[in-house]
Amino acid sequence: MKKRIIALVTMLVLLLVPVSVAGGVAIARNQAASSVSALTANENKAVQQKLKELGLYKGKVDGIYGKGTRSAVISFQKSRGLVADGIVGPKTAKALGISLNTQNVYQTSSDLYTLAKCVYAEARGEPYEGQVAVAAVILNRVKSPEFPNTIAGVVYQPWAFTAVHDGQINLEPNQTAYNAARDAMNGWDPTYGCLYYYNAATATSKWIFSRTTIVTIGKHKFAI
Amino acid sequence: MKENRDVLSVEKRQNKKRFSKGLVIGLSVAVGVLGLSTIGFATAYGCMQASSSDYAVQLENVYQKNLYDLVESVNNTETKLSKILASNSNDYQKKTLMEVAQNSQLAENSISSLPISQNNLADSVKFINQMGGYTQTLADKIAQGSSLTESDLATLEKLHESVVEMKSQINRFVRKVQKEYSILQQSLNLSGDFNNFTVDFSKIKGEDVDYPTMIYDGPFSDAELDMTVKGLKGDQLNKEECQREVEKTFKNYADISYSGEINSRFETFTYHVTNTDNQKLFVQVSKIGGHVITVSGRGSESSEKNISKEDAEKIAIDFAKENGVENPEIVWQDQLGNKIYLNIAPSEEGIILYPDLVKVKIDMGSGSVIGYDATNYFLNHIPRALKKTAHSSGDFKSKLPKSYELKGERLVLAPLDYGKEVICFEYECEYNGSTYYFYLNAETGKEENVLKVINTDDGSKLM
Repeated sequence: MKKRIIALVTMLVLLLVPVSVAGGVAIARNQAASSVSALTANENKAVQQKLKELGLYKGKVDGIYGKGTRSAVISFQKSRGLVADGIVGPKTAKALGISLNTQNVYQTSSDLYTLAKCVYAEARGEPYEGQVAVAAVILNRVKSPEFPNTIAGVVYQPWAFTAVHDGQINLEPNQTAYNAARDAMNGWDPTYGCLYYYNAATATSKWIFSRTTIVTIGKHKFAI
Repeated sequence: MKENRDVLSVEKRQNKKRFSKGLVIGLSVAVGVLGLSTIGFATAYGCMQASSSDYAVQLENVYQKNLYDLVESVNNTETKLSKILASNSNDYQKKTLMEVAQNSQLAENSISSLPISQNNLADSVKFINQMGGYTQTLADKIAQGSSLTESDLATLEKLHESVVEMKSQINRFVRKVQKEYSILQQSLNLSGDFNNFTVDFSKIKGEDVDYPTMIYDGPFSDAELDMTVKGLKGDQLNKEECQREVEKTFKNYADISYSGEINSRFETFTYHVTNTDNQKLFVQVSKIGGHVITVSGRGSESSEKNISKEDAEKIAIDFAKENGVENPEIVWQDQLGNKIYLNIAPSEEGIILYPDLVKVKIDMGSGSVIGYDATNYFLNHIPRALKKTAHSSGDFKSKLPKSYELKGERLVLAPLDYGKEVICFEYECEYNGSTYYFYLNAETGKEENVLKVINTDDGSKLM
């Protein structure tokens, strides 16, 4: 009898597992989303410092809006009769005695993110300078009259990049790809203005061989 | 015993009965759950099947939209160009030139969103972009009080002829596409190196469309691309001599190996350098003079900082000096993790030369230079023979917005667009927690540029 119940339970559990796992992921995502703060790291630090002075926050003053900061904000909001949503908006900031930089509209570096994604998708196996070079080619294209005039325009141009075409562009970039993208945006260009690159071993288009190769970095030949 | 056995067998039977009852319930629940989930999966699969063709329709619609947007932009451009040529009014010409520039942007956006291989598109995209840049430049010229010259009008005339040709071919192509043509399907079928849509679309370009040369100083002009290296001095060195320069510069090297040479805008030898902190650097050294032009390196992932900002500034200045940068001065810095980015500019007679900016990235853990870019310096740096201004920075303070708090001021050579340079007073101002830089012409007080510091979650930048 016991065995049968166990078997039955196991069966049900097995059938239900995917559902609950999916549910768990969704919940985890929601939590992550709600703890993302629209404040800058410095503003977060100021919030953490104030909360620490009030004895509500025990963690590090690191500018990272994590669980600890969030629950401290909630306790603070409760103690002041504010809406306890864990978000530092204008009212909570005022109560904390912090001036938020309202004039500075919150801005993510979405162009950097797009660039880093393309670098990761196209060149994650390449040496660092090879990743900077790929990012530089994308930026050189933005400047060139022969190509679209925005980073997204160049990256998502149909048939331009293999790894965009096959969907690898949707992989999350790692820190190295980010650093390489940032360096290129700062002006680093080990290719001195190249507009193309290809892997000589895998290139399928004969046309690319007609371009003048300027430099080979890792597996990629960079050309104008 | 018998009784006992009977009792036992009754129990057994009852057990058996209970067992089979349990089994039936168990099985039916299992079957039920399985059945339900099968139906669920089947439905989900059905949905997926349906949506996969939906996706194709959606994508085809996006392509079609871009194609028709392109046609409209090209048609508009043609009409507007002909009206500019007909017009006698500066104001009307200016307004319409700006509309052509906007239409060119739209056309560029549409054409680059179609599934066409880039190499078949380069000429057309370049023509469209340059048409936008050229008409914008002419509009700016009228805005500053000039009129279109004979030669401007002649170029516009040629431009118009090319657009007429492009327009009629693109309209012919669209008529063909209206008849059961799927851009998506054609883009997925390859013929040779290119997809069928590329091949079909390329035909609109034809053999005889001759794009005119547009000579102007503005966005996307050919002059923009034609940069020559003006600032390199010294003897022509070979790769061994250049390697010795690398050894002198990277005192903490553990290994240096020659990688190759680049003969482009800059002629350089390249080396892989590993320093004693096991950081790998890619170093490019000019054949003329053996100056380090760029260093690319990732640095460590650690967040450890062993040097101060002041130490980093000194390291950066020394590095720049050693590599031929004259009178370097720190003009901007930004820290991200344990990396510090420092911008250095040379100065001439106390005037900061922004066009000759050098960028240095230092790992604050090891104190090593892990990134360096002196391309702008060696492209632009020549003695400028700058004319002294008769004004002082106080003369133009009244031109700054009233409620902005002045934080600093200095004399600089500011780069304007397209290679132009002008001496300006730079005023650093703060307003509502944001930092602004105002550039007022040192002769006339005219506002040449305004920059704002934008703080993002990835460091601050000037825009």
